Amino acid sequence: MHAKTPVNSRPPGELVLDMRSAAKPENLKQIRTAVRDAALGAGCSESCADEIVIAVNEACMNVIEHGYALDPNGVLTVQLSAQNGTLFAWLGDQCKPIDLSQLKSRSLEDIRPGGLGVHFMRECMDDIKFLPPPPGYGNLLQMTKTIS
Amino acid sequence: MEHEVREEHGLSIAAFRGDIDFNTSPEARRVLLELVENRQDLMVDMSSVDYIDSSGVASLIEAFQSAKTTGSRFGLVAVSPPALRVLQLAHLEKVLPIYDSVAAAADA
Repeated sequence: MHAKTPVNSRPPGELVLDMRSAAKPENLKQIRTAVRDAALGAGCSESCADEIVIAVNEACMNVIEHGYALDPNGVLTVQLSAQNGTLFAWLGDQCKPIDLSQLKSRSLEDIRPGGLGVHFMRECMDDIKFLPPPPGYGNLLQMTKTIS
Repeated sequence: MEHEVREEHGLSIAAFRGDIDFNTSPEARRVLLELVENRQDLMVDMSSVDYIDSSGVASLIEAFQSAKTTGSRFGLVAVSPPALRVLQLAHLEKVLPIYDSVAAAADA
């Protein structure tokens, strides 16, 4: 679960988490625990770390459900780093490339199940964008947040 | 995630413990919809919920909407701070009935 990522790529600054996991729903709790510990270790407050956990969890869910369509052979990588007061969260997968325009939040006025994940990610983080995926990746999502 | 269902103050109480996430929310959804479809007035005890994600929130919304259809009551009681934070992100604290306790829900 915690093997080093095989690609020669990492977010900027000091790496505080580097994990590779099977893209399975039952692994989400372990990912959340690791992300929270790493965010706290990087200097985030409890509430800041909790929001990073929410965002990373939702991003991982999207990869598991939509990217890999629940294929248990899928792999995702989660890397966290800190630089100049900013925490970087990188989420890598080997899925088909995603168009950023697909990352849409729905209106909260529309009270219905589903579609909240992207809204949570945008609410909890300062910036979300896809980076050009390095070799071995299908997508590389970067989320950043000021360490507070 | 664990859960128990009990009767209290004339209400059905579904109490969840642990994480309601993408791995466990299908079970939470099944429990909630089964109770609501039996037209029982249902309160979800969330005092011991450590974490809830968007899939768990979706289960609550679905049960809430199903309860409105059947004409039964649905609400949340004693929502833990981490769960409340997620509900606030979705602005659902303004939509879902939330009570401090089962007794408060019964009196409402």
